[in-house]
Amino acid sequence: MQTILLKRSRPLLLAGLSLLSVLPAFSQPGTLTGQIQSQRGAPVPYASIYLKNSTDAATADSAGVFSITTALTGNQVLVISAVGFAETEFPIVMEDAKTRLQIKLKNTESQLSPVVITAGTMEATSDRVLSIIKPVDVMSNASSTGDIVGAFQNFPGVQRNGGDQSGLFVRGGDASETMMIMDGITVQNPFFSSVPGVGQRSRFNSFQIKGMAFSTGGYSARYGQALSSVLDLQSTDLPEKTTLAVGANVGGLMLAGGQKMGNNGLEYSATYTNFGPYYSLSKTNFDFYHKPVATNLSTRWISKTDNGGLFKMSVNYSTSSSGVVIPDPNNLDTTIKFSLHNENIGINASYKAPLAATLKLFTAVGYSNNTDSIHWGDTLFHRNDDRLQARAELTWHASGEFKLTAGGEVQHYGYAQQFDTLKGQFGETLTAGYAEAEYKPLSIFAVKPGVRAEYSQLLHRGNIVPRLALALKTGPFSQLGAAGGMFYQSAATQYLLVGYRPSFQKAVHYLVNYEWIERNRSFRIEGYYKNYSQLVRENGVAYSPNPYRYDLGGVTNTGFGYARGFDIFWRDKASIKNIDYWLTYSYIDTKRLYQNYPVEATPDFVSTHNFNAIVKYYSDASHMFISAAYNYASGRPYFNPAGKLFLHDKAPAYQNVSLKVSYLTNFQRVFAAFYVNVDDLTGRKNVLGYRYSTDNTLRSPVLPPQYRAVFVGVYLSLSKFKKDDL
Amino acid sequence: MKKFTTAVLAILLLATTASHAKAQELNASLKDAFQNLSTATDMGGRMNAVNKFNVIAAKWGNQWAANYYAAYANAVVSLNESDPKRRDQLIDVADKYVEKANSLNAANDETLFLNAYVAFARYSVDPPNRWQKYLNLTNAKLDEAKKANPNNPRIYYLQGILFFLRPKTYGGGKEVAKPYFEKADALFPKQESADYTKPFWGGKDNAAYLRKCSE
Repeated sequence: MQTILLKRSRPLLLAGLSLLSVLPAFSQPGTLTGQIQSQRGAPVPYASIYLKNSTDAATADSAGVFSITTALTGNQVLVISAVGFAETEFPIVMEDAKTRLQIKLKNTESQLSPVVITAGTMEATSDRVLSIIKPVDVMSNASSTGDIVGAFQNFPGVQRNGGDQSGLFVRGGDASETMMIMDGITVQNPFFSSVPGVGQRSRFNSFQIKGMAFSTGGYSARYGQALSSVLDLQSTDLPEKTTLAVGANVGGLMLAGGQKMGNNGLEYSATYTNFGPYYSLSKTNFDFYHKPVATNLSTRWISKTDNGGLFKMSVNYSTSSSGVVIPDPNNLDTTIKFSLHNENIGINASYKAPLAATLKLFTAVGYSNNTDSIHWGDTLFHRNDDRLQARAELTWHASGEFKLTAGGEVQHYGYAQQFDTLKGQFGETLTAGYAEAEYKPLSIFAVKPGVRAEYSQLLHRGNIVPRLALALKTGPFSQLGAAGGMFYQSAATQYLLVGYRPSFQKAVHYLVNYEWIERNRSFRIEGYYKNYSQLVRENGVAYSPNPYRYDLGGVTNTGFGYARGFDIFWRDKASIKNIDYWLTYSYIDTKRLYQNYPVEATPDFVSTHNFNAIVKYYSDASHMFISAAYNYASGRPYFNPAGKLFLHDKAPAYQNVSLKVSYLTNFQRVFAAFYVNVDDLTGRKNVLGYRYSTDNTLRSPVLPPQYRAVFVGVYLSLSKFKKDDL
Repeated sequence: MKKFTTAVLAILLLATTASHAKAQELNASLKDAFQNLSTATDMGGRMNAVNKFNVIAAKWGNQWAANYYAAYANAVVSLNESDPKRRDQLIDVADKYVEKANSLNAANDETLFLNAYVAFARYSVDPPNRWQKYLNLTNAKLDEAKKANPNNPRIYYLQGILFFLRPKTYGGGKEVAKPYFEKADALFPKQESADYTKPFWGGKDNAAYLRKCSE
């Protein structure tokens, strides 16, 4: 059989072989020469030139000149590609191509600078190759004091807080107008409970944050119930390896670790803070008769599923207590002892997974419960709140140019409080649905329209609001953006607790920005106008600066206001070796008539001018990391009962210089970081405002909790080199 | 019937021969381009080699090895380039081939390693700003590759480089890196080095690093 095959197939085989081997001999080798240029005529070096479906190829030299020898004849296609340029096909008839070819290539936009909608949002993410800042930048500056929210005070559009208040005050909005989100779930109590006049840190563990999107206006339809701003945080994914770290500082101890088990990860942390020893050595502007003590325990479970999904669940528990002597808010002529014991638990779970190649699911549920037990002098004050919520959304990636996100959320929250014998409580169920599309019809243009509908069971009212954001690339590294939308927020809890049911408050945002981001330098300027309406007003009562006032008069939605201004951000990592610096400046003009204001006025938390300069220096040789910050905020208005105009008097400007020096080293294979953080390095005696006695004859300054503060600590990473790596 | 059978068998034989010839041609083309890359002393020479790999990947687009080498070549030239913008552009090209290699054979230890290597090249352009995403991705892909084949020497070679480049302060340095290069050094000779469709590169570079660790 084999013999027959060979015999019979020989003519076929020979024919096949001869065809393969003889074909090239029919034609004479020719040479194509030419130059590859950019659209502007500049030579493109080292371009690849080859004849399609062959390996006849050449590489252009540094002047873009090439020469390619081929035996091919007739109609052919020359394929030219070069780094940074679009691949081009060039049809050619070999016999006609005697002259020197000149081929122009079109620039491509590298993935470094795709059009990205950024108006209103500063994103700190590691996921985008090019973003203005990264999470590590947020945390490593001197004036952040290791707190995320502290770090965001260095951002444009955010008011500098002198340490007397908790929260983020964004573009004329008070702290309640900023919502904080973790993995899609509203964080009801993002800050540790505070004693009056002493701002508190946030509860977020900075080591568990992967990304942050801070919106100073015009935010996504995914969120609502915030008149000014949303801070959207994403927690870290599966830990990369098993870790264990301990830390100690003058205020307490910390232990944190993570165990990686294949596609699962367990993280845990415990912190104990006790400012007793520290405040004994360091002077404070408050008389703490019970020094702040806090314990925080947290654990997270992260699982990667076989279908590419990711499940995260976290449980956080914290308890804190402190006691301080403060001026009696009801009678500033006298002082009272104010003690606080807080317990907080938060549970958060989220799951995201692809349902199909173009369809992704995201779901999240959360529960939190917070209790404050307060001794107000001899009076007991108890308050409790809880929140149960769920979110589900689908994202359809129809193409590279179009995606659509649609989802819904339900939040049930309740507040209850008892001051002596006065009780108040309410429960609210908010239901919302939203849809948001992102469409990039051109590589230089993107548009993101959205719509959100909400219904409040407590108010028996709903609303439907539009949102819109646009971006237009104006160059390889620059773009223009615009955003706008309507935003509703329920009245502050102080009104709802005592039975008032005013309607939603409303804000309309308009903003435009210009952004230029190159690899090591970035610039951004954003102008905005915000119109407030339906703000809650207390009618028929005299103004009192007391936040604990209980006579709220007749509550209506007749308040209004505006905020307008611009924010500038500049960052430069390249001009000075080993130096990375940012400059931010914000100007704001805002007035509002709300709460118990008698007339429209600039609120007492607003500084017209805010300026921040952050400098970071790292030296590999000396293992030193140094960060310094200068913060300036023009004086805030304060209430002077004898003043001719309401909230017209202004406190002196706030200025602060802070410094953080870290020394990084290792013992055997244990990584160690020693750090010292000095706040108010120059010893400036900032005054944040004034309080007046009942008869207006005496005034006392509102001071930050501390002037110069020195904080020293060490961080040890005990994650040892694993022999089993080998 | 006999004539028909003979014709079918002849066509099959021709097809097999042609397929073998194609494989030989791919191997020879890869060998030529690889030798160009190994001996290039300047950017012109390196880009010439990269272009050859790109052309090979265009011609043999459905062959895993062609895409593997095109991605590798673009990444390795990026690591030798000084202009950060150009480095990123080369990795953009490498990513395109990585994606193709993933679609052809995602679970292969060499594909997983390739993902790690290209992520490492991306990280190297701007380490302070990219470590969080790309260094972690490099390590994650190396872990996956190790699970798929713990005897792949390039895994330990790249792990060695990561430790070698990491400042001593952060738990890196020569002493930490050396055992990885030693492990790779013991594994490299076990690799076949005639078939260019099966990656075997890295031995010389690994030996050079090992020498640096002993200095």
